[in-house]
Amino acid sequence: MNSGPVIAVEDFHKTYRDTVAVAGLSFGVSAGEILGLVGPNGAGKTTTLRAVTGIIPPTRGRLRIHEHDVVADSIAAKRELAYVPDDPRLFDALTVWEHLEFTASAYRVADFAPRAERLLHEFELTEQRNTISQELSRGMRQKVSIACAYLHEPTAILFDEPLTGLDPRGIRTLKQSIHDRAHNGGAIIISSHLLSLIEDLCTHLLILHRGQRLFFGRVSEARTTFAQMGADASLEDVFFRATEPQPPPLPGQS
Amino acid sequence: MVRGLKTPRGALLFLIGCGMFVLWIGPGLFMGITHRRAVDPEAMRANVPAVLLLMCGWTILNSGGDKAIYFSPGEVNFLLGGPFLRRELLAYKLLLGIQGAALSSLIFAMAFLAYFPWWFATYIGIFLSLGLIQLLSMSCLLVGESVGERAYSRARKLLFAMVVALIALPAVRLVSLNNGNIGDAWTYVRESTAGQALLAVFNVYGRAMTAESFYPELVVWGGLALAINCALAVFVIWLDSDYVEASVIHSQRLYERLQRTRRGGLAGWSGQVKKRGRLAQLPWFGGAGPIAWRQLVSALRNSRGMLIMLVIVALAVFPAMLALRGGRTQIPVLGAVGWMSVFLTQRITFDFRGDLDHIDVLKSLPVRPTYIVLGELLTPVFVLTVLQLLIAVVATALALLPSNVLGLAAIILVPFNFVLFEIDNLLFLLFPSRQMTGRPTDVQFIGRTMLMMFAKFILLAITAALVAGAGFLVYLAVGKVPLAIVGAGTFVLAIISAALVPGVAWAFRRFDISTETPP
Repeated sequence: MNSGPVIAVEDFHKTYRDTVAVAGLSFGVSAGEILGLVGPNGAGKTTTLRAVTGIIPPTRGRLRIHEHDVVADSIAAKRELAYVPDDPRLFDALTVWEHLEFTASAYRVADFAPRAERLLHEFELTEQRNTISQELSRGMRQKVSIACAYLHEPTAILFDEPLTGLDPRGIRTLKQSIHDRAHNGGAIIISSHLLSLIEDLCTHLLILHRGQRLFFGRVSEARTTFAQMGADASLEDVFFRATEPQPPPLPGQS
Repeated sequence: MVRGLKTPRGALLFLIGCGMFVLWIGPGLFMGITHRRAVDPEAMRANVPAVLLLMCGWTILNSGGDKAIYFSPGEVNFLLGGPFLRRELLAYKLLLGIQGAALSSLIFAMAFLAYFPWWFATYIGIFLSLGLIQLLSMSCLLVGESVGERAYSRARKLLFAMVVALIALPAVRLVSLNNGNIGDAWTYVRESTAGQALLAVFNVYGRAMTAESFYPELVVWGGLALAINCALAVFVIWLDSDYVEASVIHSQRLYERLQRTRRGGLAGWSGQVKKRGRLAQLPWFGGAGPIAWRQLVSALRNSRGMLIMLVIVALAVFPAMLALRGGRTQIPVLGAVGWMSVFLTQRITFDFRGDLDHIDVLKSLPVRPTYIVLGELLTPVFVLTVLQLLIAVVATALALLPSNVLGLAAIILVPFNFVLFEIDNLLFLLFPSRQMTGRPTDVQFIGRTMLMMFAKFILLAITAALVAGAGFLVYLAVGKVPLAIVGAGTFVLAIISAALVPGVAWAFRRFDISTETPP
């Protein structure tokens, strides 16, 4: 592995007929970094995550995981990747354990059982081990999806609204697990509308608006770039300042 | 539907759908108008009651483990939570049913005009029959709610036994009559005391449908049918069991089941997936192994759906086999099996068609598309081949097929089934759609289905021509050596099935979940 970014996106464009979903996006996430991807609805966040994962092809640009191009060298790139979508679609007929078994088999994880047991314990799924996914609650399904994503120990992990449906204990466990994985050298992207989550976890911030990059850098830099609010400004203030047109100054105001 | 018309593709499908609708209704309507004398009301009177009994039985049995009235998510939110009495909600459901039946009856009356003596009586008869089916099913659900689960299950089993008896008796009679035909056997069952008792109520509706005069026939039989329906409606309203809680739970389950049905064939028929058995992982095989394993587990856990499929196949094929027993040609049997196989592929969807909502998961796996395709196709091919071999075994047992054909069939069927599912999946990935229409009058859906069938038959015809061409060339070269001719055909079939794999893989690669996943 080299010292460059684990996830590298250069000049990424995605268009659907006449609609430009993402235009000329570039950013990188290095080992140990957690990037918060924020933007209003329709900003291009999910499109970006799906393209990085290799689920949809880019119209133009280069997307790489550990220098492996996700289009030209997709298998090598996908081995290093995990993606937790916003709506986890589990396989109806499989149990929780069988989901882990399937993932282990597809990613060729040798001797997966001890690791899977640990994940079940970590996400409080041990009792649901033999439950068919159809019978799981929304939060449980989310936990299964996350456990499957962690199973092959990816170095690049992408989350799309990861807290949906999780209980307070689950939220704490997930936050801790994200933190631990970044600490161990993982590169992580979290797309969310929950700015408090981004504020809690992320080291870097990428603000998208109508497919354009408005800001990319450290979270602390965002505060000074937009709003000149200083270190105590909330991310919410930064977000609104960045994505919404500011009202013209009142007469007499500078 | 109107929104769909705004796109060229939607408008084209709508036009094709309208064309197919006219083709379906048109001949019946034309025949009905021009060939009035050809109608045989007695034949209809004899058969309609049995059809109605089967429809009622199917509707009640097909409810699976459901024991409550279905309300859509919107109805649950706005009606069950609204200031309405339970009886008002029941009346609303009944009125909704009457409204739907009025339109459906009109379409059926037009389509079957040629077979009934008087269209107005046919319309009234069908309308009342559809009402009966709905009311009977509703009564059963509410009675089930009142008497408890065990009694309800017992009653359903009894009904199941009655329906099986109605199907099995003619078959048994046919076996006992060595040279008889299906018609004789059916007449025997219908005229027996048990048959008459079983069909007595449904006979009323059959007589209403086939009435030739307003008075006394339609008035008497239609009035009687209306009285039965009214009595059932009063019974439903009178029962007024506390169905709301059960309905909320059941509606949620049924909604999820409908969603599963929209994702793919058999899953929806199976109701709740049951955890049955365990399968050992398959070998890696480039990544195809885990994917095939996952689909095989789905097939195993949806085995109730498979059982229903088997019953349908048996009902479709075995009477024909019994009727042909002792015949000298195998062509009708082979033709029936081949024809049925082409249509069965629409239902055995343990492949991309059932994985429409998991395409993103498949695309994110570190597995080459070619192997993903192989993994997706193995299970449906396996399931269909087993079904076909079962039929072949029965046909051999009935001496309809020579025993040496069985082994040969097993070899030919695998590449043949691969080609069938490859074509289905290729067309699906290029023109994706949900398996089930959301609305009964979805003309675009009908148009699309017809267009896909047409494309499938063209591709199958090309395949058949290539296979037949290879067989013919071998025939010219070595003469009438069946093994060589069949071997050449099978070889070409295997090459075509292998050549189609990259094509399906290409279609999978180009499938964009953002724009092509149907709603």
